Amino acid sequence: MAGSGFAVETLRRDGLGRTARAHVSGRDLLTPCVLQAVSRSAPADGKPPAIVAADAAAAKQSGAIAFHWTSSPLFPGSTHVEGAVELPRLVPKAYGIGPLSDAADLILVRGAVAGALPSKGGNEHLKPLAGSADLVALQNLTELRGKPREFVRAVAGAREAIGPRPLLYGAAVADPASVSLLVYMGVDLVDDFQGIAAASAGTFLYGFGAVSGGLPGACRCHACVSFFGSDPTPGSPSAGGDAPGSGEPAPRAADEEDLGRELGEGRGAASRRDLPAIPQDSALFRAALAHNRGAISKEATVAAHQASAGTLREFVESRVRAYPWLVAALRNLDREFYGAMEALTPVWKERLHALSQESLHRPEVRRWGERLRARYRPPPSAKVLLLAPCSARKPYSLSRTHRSIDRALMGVRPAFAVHRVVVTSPLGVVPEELERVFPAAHYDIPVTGDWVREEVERVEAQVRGLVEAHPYKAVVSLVGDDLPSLQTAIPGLVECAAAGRAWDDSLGRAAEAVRAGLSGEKDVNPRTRTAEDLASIARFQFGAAAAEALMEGAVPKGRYPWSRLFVGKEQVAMHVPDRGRLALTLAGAARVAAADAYRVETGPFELKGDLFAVGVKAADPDIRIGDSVAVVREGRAVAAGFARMGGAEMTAMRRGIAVDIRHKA
Amino acid sequence: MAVAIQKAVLGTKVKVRSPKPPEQYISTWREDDVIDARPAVAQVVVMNSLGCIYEKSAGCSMCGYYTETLPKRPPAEAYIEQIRRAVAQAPEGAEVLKIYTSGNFLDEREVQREAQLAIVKLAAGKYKRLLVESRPEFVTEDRVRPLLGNGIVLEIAFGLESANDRVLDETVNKGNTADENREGALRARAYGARVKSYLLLKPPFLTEAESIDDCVEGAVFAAPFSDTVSVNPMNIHKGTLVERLFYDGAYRPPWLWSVVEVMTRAIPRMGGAARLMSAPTGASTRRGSSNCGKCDAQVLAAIAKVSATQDLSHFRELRCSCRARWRWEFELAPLAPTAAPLS
Repeated sequence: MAGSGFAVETLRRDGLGRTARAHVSGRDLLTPCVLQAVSRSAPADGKPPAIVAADAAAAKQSGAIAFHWTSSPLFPGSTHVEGAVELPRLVPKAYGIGPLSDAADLILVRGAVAGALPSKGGNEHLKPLAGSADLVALQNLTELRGKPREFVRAVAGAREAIGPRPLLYGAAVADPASVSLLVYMGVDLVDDFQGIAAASAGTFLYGFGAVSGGLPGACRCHACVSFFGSDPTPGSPSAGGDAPGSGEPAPRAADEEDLGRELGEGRGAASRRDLPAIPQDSALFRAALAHNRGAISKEATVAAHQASAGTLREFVESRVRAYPWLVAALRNLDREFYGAMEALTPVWKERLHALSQESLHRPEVRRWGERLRARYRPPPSAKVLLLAPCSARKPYSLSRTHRSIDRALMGVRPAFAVHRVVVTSPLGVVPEELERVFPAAHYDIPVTGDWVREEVERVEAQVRGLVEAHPYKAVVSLVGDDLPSLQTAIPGLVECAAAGRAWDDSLGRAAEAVRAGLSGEKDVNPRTRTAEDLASIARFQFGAAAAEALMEGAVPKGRYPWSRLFVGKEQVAMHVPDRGRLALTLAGAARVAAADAYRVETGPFELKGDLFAVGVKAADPDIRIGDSVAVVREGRAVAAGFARMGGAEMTAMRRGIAVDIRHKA
Repeated sequence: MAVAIQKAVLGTKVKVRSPKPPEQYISTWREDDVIDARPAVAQVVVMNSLGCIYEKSAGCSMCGYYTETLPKRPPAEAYIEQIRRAVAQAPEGAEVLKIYTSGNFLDEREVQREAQLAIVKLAAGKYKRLLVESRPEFVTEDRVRPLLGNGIVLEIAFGLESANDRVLDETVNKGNTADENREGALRARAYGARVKSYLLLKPPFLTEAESIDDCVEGAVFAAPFSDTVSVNPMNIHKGTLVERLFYDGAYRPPWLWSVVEVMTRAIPRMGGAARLMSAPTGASTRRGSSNCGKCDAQVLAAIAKVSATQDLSHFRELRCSCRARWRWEFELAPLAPTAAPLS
């Protein structure tokens, strides 16, 4: 099965996107990777790490890792070349003609490599490849450019079906604007075919879109500098024609339409027969080709960096803005593939920038809401809910705004019966005890004070959820100037802030309202509340049952947030302040594992160092990258550590570290 | 065998049928033709018939002629009346009558034998040659012999489409093989009929380059058993699988340059055994074979000349900047595993 395979190993993962290493033709192939598409007019250029050729003969020419397509099965006749990887080409049954009942029409397996076609009927036909293939070459994507829903179902759907392990090659579809989205949807390999196609029409591809004849000065790559000159007049459309070495003027469509731009849009350009055709030996073609290849490969390099840094999503959100259909694709992806993406999204990252409307629906943000609903319950001692505005500074409690609230509430008793909850976008609400949990302490958002309806509705729904889950005696708000509608959405809410009212005035009213709400309440021991807050974090992190098992008889020690949890003399967990999460000790791991949660089962072997995926027998599918987990052998917890893969990924992968071991029996 | 495409074809059928009464033919027109290497006038009649029996179970992926058929077979007298009316409209000097039934003229389930014979006799008084169309399975001695010797040359046209059985099966859903077509044609010749073979240029799921190769091979295959070989570049009919693909951006009809290329490559290889011609239907429209628009008329005129004379020098003067665009497709297609337009 994997004997002649590519030994695929994920290096860093960010949702469906990743950087990976595979062993192909005796060499390391690092992904995301752009296969340089080579043909007679577009021979291999520079030293590409890998190429894809139309046929076996062309594949032989280069020193790179070579892939080549077989000929259409309708016209057999290709010969294989030693050392090159054959990509099985199928009869391109188009996406539109499904549902096709016969999966055999849609995949073609040759050893570790499978050719595959997308199908309107779903991706069931790809599932057998999850275990058997090391590389899946997805074809017929070209006609899905410009069709956001179909494009996403074909690509992200293929990744979902084949699982996290095999390499996925999305053929002949990438341009600079779409590379990052393709990577984000789980594509490891793309090619620069669209770069050749565009160059053949004299069109230059940029991250922001496509321009016929190129935009002098917009790019400083070697090809552009030598074609347009080192000091072109920006915006001068004739610069191309005057540049040294170029024999012909930049092409212009007779009807003044920018056909090149249409080419980048995908749809519509499809049936144009009046695109300019640039001679293959012209300076313009060579410049456009070299530029386009560089532009696509640069995007993949940046995407690799972003995936490693955990900021691929931010990059995608900025790049898709080149074309409306790509934005629509991202929205479809969020709507239809949340589950697949969330399962592979780390629970902790260094930062999160919510930059666009799409940010409201990114997996990290949606997961926050889902966990709040499914796992969170306010601390039992809380009697008054105080809704507070968010702050740029995180965690909120260190901000000026929140320190001013602290001062206003000074002397209000019992102080630990107040439950402060921050109202914010994109997350919705952040209970104070979760303020250090990712992404609450890590997000940044352009703040203008304008809330869109979607944000307001999210906040209202979440506040309603809190009020319904817990018998607060009073709900006091300090956010009325931003969100005046809360007052009608939450019956009985005492609104203290209003547009035009001085903050100190609002604070005074809030302190009064809180004091009134708390009148007659018994004192709350600060240690009790700290234990409750840590239990909240545990529930958010491990779910109710495992949190209960972990917290049973546990007593916090140390000053929050530097808290540690003890049962008797034995430590079960510590709170990690900069992650807002609990790290299990071996004893804590045993407790969580006993509740049948966050456990990774291994075979009967002695752990030496970290636990590798190949040694994982089973893993809780709720485990996410960054989670504190229990390693269990023959029913006994033998180690605690941090997950480096999602639970399902641990069983699917055959290489790489599954659990970074911290405590061992 | 190819269950998937059969299902797909069935899924694209529309409900439209002939609106005309059974005594009225669908349409008739005059066109230029060639008889024995000299120009001749032909009259085409599209009959209002039951249509192709094979279409009733699935049909071909590109054929939408069923939208001009009747739900029930009309009486023989109605068919005869259609031809009587059409013949009354015969253009000046017409020597050839071409009868298209949107099906198989020789299939008695579609056109009664007495109607077949009566139509042949009607035509014999007026024309030198009669062309009818049929799938090869209906070309049998008992059907064909009675139609011969009536004082008119009978030519039977076969939809060979391709010489590649996988293309026939997996993309056209033709329901027969190239050899079955050849044998039908050889039978027709043995009985004394002439044979015309249609080739489909650019079936779905083939790239432009693949379809050119396929068509050239088809012409070479058909030459020994055909009197005429006709290259029919795809014209997208309503209610077909090809139309669905076209709307999905997954299919584009072939370039006129591809017709030129097929003729240029095939004529020398056919060794004069059969005449190669092409009269693209729906040419220069979005649904038919076209070039950039500026050179279409000129290229079509050259195709017509070569069709008549087999003299390829008529192509020599053709020049247009879009030819370079067409050429690019050959380079790009093998790198993009798709049948969709690439630029």
